[in-house]
Amino acid sequence: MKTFITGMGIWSCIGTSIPEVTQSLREGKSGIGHIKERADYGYQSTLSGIVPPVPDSLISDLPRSKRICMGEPARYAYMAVLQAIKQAQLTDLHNVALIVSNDSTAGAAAETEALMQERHDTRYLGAGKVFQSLNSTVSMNLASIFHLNGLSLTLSAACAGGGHAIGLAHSLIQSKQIDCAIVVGAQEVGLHAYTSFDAIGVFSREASRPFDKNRSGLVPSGGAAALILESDEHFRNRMATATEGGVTAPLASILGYGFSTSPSIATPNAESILASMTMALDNAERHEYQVLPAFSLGMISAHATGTKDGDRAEAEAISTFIANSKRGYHEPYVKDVAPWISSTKALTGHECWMSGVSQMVYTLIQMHNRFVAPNPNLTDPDDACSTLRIARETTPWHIASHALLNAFGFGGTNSSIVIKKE
Amino acid sequence: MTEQEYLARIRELMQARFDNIPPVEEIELDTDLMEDLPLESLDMVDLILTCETAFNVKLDMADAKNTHTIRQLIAWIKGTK
Repeated sequence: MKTFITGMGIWSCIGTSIPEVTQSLREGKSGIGHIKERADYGYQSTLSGIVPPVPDSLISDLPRSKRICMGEPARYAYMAVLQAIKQAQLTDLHNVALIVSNDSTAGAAAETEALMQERHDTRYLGAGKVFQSLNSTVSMNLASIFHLNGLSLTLSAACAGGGHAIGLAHSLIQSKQIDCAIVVGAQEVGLHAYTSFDAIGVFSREASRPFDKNRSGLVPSGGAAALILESDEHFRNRMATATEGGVTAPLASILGYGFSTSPSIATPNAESILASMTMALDNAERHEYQVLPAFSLGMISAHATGTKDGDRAEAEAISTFIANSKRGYHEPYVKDVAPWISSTKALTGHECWMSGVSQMVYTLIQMHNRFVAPNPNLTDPDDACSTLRIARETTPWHIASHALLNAFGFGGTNSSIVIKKE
Repeated sequence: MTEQEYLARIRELMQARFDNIPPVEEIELDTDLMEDLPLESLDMVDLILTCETAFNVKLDMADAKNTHTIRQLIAWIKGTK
């Protein structure tokens, strides 16, 4: 049984629609800028993905009782899900599951604190604040707005959450517990969202430079991304009953999900990253009943946030992953064969709880438009990347068939997903 | 405050708070909040919280189930003063 990806949507710093994001990726257009307000507040770095707020006009068709429950991440997520549902032409949401990656609601907490300090009376918070404040705010809101009646939950796994949300949905579909799922990654970017990250000095003050020798940290970003996952049987049933216009062909199928946990709370190590990728690829091979060596993958969408240790560990793991896969093959045939290593965070910054899902969107866009997005800030690659094929400029991707995506998070949690273009 | 004065003030509060209700001139003492306006349950909570702060009273949410009309809401508010 296949798990198809049949729809996608995005609200990000490089675009608030798939066509806009496609153009930004192709042109290497960065969505990163400076937020001066952060300096005034006390941040060490003012660099951020500049995510457009969702205008009230775009949610005005929702009843007020729903609007007051939607904080920043829920608004982004609503816009992304609308796009995904539209692309998948999913009209019947009966029994559709909803799995969301989100790990903070600092904005709502800050607003609550400010109101309480001003009024010292909880009644001034209004009826909607509680629904903005819980970590499950996005799944709570979307389930209510779309009248979902199947599984609905938010998982928190820091910056690996998006990858795990995709993996969990895939696993539930493969075990036939659900037929179809909306998978969402959402990330707030308000003033209070990243204070504790900034405190530990992980942010670059200069640029997002994944894999570059002079990289100096990650650039925070956010918004939301959404995918529609469904079993091939569910998709065929929709096709059979579709009215005029039919149903759009699937974008890809998910072949394998892998995971691991690193010993360090802050930095993944190469060994655990390799374990996650290997598990995903092993599962993909079992699913497809065919050998799928790492060197034959078209792309590895790296986590690569621009941190010294994280990028190095991932580069070492990927190098080993590819090199090991060539053993047993006639060396001249495989010597120059290697996947493209995509590092879109040079353009988008690190979208944290959103990133596994948004990375899937960026990978699918590159896959279907047959190009590898550039890493324009890669001027002097780290030594650990010496064997890796990383595009500094937009590059044609002729045989865009299989890809592996990595998403790693604080707490050592790692996720990897293998997909195949349909 | 007279009952009509309470009605006028509640009309002002609702006009400022809710954007999907009939014109406030049509809201009368016997208007049913959830049937006629209509307010959803979360809107009711919001209205009760707004009335608490506007009229400086403490309303027990457990009594909300007995409050269907504006007249009953005013009686509830007056009863706690």
